[in-house]
Amino acid sequence: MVVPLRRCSRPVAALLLAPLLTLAACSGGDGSASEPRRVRATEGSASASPDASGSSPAPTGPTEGGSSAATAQGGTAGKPEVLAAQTRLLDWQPVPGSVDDTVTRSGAWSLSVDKAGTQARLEGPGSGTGVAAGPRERISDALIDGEYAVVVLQDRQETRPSSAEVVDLRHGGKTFTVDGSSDVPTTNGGTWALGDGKLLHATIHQGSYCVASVDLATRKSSLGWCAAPRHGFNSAEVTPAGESLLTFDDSHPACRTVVELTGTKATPFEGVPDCKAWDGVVTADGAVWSVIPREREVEAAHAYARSGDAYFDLGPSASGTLTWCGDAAYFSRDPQRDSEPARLMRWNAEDGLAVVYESAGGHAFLTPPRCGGDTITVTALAQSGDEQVSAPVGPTDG
Amino acid sequence: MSRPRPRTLAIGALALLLAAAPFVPHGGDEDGSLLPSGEQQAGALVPAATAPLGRVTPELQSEIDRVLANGGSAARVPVSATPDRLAASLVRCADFDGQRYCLHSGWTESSESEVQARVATAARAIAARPAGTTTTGDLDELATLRRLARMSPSAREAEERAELVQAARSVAKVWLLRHEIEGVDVPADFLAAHPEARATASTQQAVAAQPTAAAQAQPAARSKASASSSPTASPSATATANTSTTSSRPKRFKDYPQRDTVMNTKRVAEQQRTYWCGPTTMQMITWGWKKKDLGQSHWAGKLGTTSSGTAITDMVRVINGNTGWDREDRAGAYIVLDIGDYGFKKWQRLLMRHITDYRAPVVLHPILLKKYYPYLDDDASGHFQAGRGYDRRGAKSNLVGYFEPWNQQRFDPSEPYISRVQWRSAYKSYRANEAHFQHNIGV
Repeated sequence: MVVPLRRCSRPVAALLLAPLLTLAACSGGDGSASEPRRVRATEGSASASPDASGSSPAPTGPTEGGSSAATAQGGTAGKPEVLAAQTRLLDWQPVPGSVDDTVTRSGAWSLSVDKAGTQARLEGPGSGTGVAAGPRERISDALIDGEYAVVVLQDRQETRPSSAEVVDLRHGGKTFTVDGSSDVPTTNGGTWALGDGKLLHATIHQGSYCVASVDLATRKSSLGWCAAPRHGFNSAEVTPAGESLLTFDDSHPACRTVVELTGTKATPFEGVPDCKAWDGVVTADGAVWSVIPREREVEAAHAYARSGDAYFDLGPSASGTLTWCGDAAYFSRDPQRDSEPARLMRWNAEDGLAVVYESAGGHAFLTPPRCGGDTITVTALAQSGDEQVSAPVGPTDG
Repeated sequence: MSRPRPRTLAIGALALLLAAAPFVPHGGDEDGSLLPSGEQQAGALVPAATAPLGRVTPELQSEIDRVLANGGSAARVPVSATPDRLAASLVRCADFDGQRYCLHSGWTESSESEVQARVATAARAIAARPAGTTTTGDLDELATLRRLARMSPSAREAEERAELVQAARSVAKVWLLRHEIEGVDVPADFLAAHPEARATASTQQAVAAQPTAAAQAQPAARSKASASSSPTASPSATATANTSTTSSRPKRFKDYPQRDTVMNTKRVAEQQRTYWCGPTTMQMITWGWKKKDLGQSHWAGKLGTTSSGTAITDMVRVINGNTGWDREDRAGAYIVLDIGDYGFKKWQRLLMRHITDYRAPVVLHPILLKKYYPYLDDDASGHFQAGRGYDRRGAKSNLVGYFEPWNQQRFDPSEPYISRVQWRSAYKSYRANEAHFQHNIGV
């Protein structure tokens, strides 16, 4: 059963450090960081020559059967059109530093969390700042979108509300805190999402588990949709088109539903099979989501998209990896065959489905991709060596 | 009736010779040369597929006493000592017939100083976060060291003696696993001193029934230099024994079935406390053997589980003492094995060896981080799972099957329920096992 969270009025203490640093690391001190990453030709690709801008790389051929973007018309919810993936590798650059650190690049900014989850470091044009978790805390989320950076500190004992240090990147790095004493208080743990000038987090309101939204410009919080008793939610996502959540009940297996949030209402995505969903993001004229075909393989999801009335089958995805970045949805795909790399996939209605990153040889998988507004960062754990790379993506207001 | 022609006779003789060839004794050395039948004396020293707990030989007893005597300084180490000092005092290693066992860590090919440094590093990191962390239930290194430091010298010595005796009695399993998985030759003098490591007539027959096990049962014709990573033979091994070593081809991937499992998927449970992954994994493993569920509280008591969690050394101890999975016709004695030097392929073969050849589960020991388990909402701690299957899926990526005790929803409304029976990328599980600071497994 779903266990209600205990509330605690004591705010989470966060130690904000403010050592100003130059940006030597961002410029790739050894010079190698600024070198474009060699682009590998993938199976089925005739050539691989990414556009220098990285935001609209040239297609290099399909990697599997199905319709290309040019010919795709879309199917129905019951019979979505299977899309072929073009290979359009982005202009990936190595992220400086240890691959054990979790880094999210955002243009000239970089937000990194150390392996232990105790130190976050924000570095940008002419300045740097750090957030250190207190002895009772760890860093659960580190979000950045080019306008704001947010570092979430979670109580290790999961008895106190989380707190978020918010940094306004455009106004001299001004900071403020969202925590258990905010007008709509945080709660312990839960989902966090940043985008479109908003910060979403979980809260407890009159005993219900609810989503709250902070307008980061005015710092005003508002209470949103609340889950029914014995229900919960996670995987909040904010895109230019809207906000979404994965909601679920406490049955075994859980009945999972991806919903679009509008104020205090939650509307299930159209065309998604009942109770099977895992990830979801809202697009301008539809949505992208994933479902779990086999409950005993919870990591093996399958992605779909809807654009207007047209439904598309995007193929296998790794559950928990779907996100929106720039003007498209991205998700990871584990190797489907021993000889295949792990891949980062990209989809939007205009460009169709594409492979935008492939791991080096051998067995591999990708950790969930991290969006930094106009930049996406991915970490590949591979037999041939781990790597952490980032690339610019399309516009954020798409 | 016509007389057979000379050509017919020649063909018949050749056929007879070819038919009889498999029964001519040979040494099983790599070039396949035939040996005089007198070499079949070595047939008494055929390694078994696995070994149950054996007896403590005088040499093993001597090594146990040496390690315990070296623990004299540990008697005075205060619980407030630095992690480095605690590790240096409390993590001591024994050389049991050429295999290294380190207290509270398991069988390893690392040196004592390397293991101590590893433990100290992990304990230091935990000490820097004194409030502790969200743990699903494996005992972290600092908690292990401090628990030992709090004990009276006599109580600690008794516990360490019991652990060392258990380890010494399971050394044959270590040799046989390294033989099969790593291709390390088993010294014949070891087999002479450890009857539990030798194949009996019945086990040889059973082994011979398997296509590749026949190769395994061939005694060596001559010594073969061990791989550089293989442990050295114990200087204390029986001097009069044959010093030749076994040499056989380990089973290959293709020798195993494409998919195999053990344990009934209906005998599963979710942990009732956040730190009970150990008792719940044990509940499912014992339930799989006894066909009877004794509950998590029962196994928490047997394992000595506290709110800090459960030690993997206790996991194998309780399997050995409370199930038949450790019988010689199953997995033999369970051990804690360091897989830090294992590549992905060896790790998979270890799993297949257990599931298919031993028909027994393994104690998986991953670190439960989102980077390895992307469906999780939060990073968690070291963890136990009951490994119970594999699926090679032809050209598709291999899967590992396991019972997952952690129902994330039970403790957190921000996470959905997942099924206790799970299959996932074997490579992800390998990386999660390797990333745990102990990088060991219960097999």
